[in-house]
Amino acid sequence: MTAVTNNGSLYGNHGRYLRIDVDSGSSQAETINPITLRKFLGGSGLGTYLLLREGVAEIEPLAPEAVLAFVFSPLVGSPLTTSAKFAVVSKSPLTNRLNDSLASSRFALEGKKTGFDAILLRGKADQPSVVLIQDGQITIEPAADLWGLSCPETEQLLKQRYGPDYQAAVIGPAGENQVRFATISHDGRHAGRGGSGAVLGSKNIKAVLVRGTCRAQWSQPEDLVELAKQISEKSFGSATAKYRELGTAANLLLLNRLNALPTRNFQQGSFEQAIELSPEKLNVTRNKTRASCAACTIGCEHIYGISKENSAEADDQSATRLEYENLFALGSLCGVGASDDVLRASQRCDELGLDTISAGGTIAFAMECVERGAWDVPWLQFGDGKALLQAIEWIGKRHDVGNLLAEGSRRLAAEIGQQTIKFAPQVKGLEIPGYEPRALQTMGLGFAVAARGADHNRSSAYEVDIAEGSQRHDLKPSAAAQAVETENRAAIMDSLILCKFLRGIFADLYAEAAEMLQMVTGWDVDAKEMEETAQRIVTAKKWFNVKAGWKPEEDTLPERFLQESLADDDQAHMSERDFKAAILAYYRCRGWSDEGWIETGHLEELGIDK
Amino acid sequence: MNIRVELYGIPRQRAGTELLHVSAGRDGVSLSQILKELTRQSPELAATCFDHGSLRSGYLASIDGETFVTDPQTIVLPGQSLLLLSADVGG
Repeated sequence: MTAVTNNGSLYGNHGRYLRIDVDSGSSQAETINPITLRKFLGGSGLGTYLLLREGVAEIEPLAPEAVLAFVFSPLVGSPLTTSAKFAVVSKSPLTNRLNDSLASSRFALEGKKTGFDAILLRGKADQPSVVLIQDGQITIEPAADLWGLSCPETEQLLKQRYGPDYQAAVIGPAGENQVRFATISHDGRHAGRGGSGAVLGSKNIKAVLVRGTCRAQWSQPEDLVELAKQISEKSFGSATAKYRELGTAANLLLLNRLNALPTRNFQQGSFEQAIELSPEKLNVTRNKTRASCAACTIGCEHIYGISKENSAEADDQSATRLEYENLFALGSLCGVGASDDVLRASQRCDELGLDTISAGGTIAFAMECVERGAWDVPWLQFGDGKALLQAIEWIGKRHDVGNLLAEGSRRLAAEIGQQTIKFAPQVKGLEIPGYEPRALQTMGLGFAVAARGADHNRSSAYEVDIAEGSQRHDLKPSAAAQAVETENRAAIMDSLILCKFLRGIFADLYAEAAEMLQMVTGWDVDAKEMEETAQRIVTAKKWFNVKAGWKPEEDTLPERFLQESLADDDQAHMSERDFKAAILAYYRCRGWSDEGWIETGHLEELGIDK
Repeated sequence: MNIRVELYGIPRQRAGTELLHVSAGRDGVSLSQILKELTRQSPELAATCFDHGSLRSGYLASIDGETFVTDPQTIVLPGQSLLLLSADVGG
């Protein structure tokens, strides 16, 4: 097996990245050593490496010198199901720490065909612009007429203007206004968390368009096609049935039953109107269609019709994708049970380009501040769907109190004061997703230590809590090793990049990932190397954070979670002592110091440049 | 006395109901026996979620939402609730 084609190019990769200075329109192609590609794979891993290499950890995330990276992977363009994915990696304006958010579909396929494994933007255009990349040719064009348009409007207009072969990653008004949790959108999907849309907006770039003709070859194409068929067949099985039939919201009622559905800013773990937001109810009361990302055989997207405003009649023109996180963040977390309001709120977040989790988390926090009399915005009440919609609109436009809400819950708490930070639902500034940490305590540990902040996609430790033998209300140091393992597996999947919804079909992720990489790249990787790679990637993210100013006190949960039980579940109580013991155990499992620092020798062992 | 069987996700879809009941003596019944009785009540549920008296891979049971089990010999006591769910949590 060889890792190089007859003409000397790499299998699976291009071996170079493109750096574009949007000030001047100049660009440079930079070589990526094949050893580096093997050490960091692609997606989140390679993106982290590139940001470290570019030396941007200390730079303010919205400064012109900051870098935003679109990163592909060896598997992009292969026949492997769910592999049409890209990562957007930057320093987060919400957390000031590493942010890697993922999205799917044809932007990934076309982006990789430009002939680069990653595309980096730095600088700031002197006027609103779009960046066009066709193979190695870069054009920056003025686009003031697009400023103010929603994400779907922008993509539609760009298709008309530049033709259907270009694929676009765009921002909405939220990104233009540098809302700290603005997204980058492609084909209705979002690189959602951490505010990468604000970074692109700070560069005056409304959209990045890609098309190309450079296809990376595969080392063992016949074996790869056969393997892809096998994985696709498995992807039709029971492990993914819930995504096909009910979508990601399939567990909403279960989490409600377990008192793990965050409600009214994490004051409760169950919501009395949960059934109204459940896919089981929505499926029988609304029109629904299903869709999937490019190159995906799962088809988890469930698109629901929305009623006309103030009417039970269906609006034929209006429909929105619904995910569990949208339903939780804009529904139970804000105490809103009217499904039309929640669907409309979700749709508006997608149009404006807002991360629904951070939008809902920040609004729910503000609602509790109002309820407690700490903030004088009387219209912003739990349960009021119209108030929710108004808040979202104002956040996207940074209008009135929306300007403060656009900063996220941590900064809003600092502005309001009165010790409201104790119940601001965030870790490192990133709002907590839809898993109550006191009811799923290994997940709580995962939230506290993740490099990106409170994050179910980079940790997935709820898998430990909802599994045979779990003690979900009683966090023990022994859970740390399991939390590390879920984080390691996520690091591999986010760097390959494959959809997490495939995880149930792999009996041995490391071995099977190694097999895929062998067939695509020709590397003689094995399961052991994949596990080491996972550890390297997680530690590299942490190393970025250390360089960006990380301190041990960041790895925690807000005081509420360590001092109060859930109002509706006395058992859901987290001991601060046990929590700290679990964090210590996590650091030791990682090979970090007892305070969470990375020793120089450990960086060298993992092959991370200082 | 009855054991209340709560169904979530795909199990609920297949059974077409959110709740089933299984009767149990004072010493309780094994998960395997419960699944056998549920098979009688809902062959559609069984066809997707059970395999020879056990839960298929991808499905999980929980006693009262606290402990999670798959062992067919697990005893469920009268008055307890058994939750049947899809094992994969993510979203």
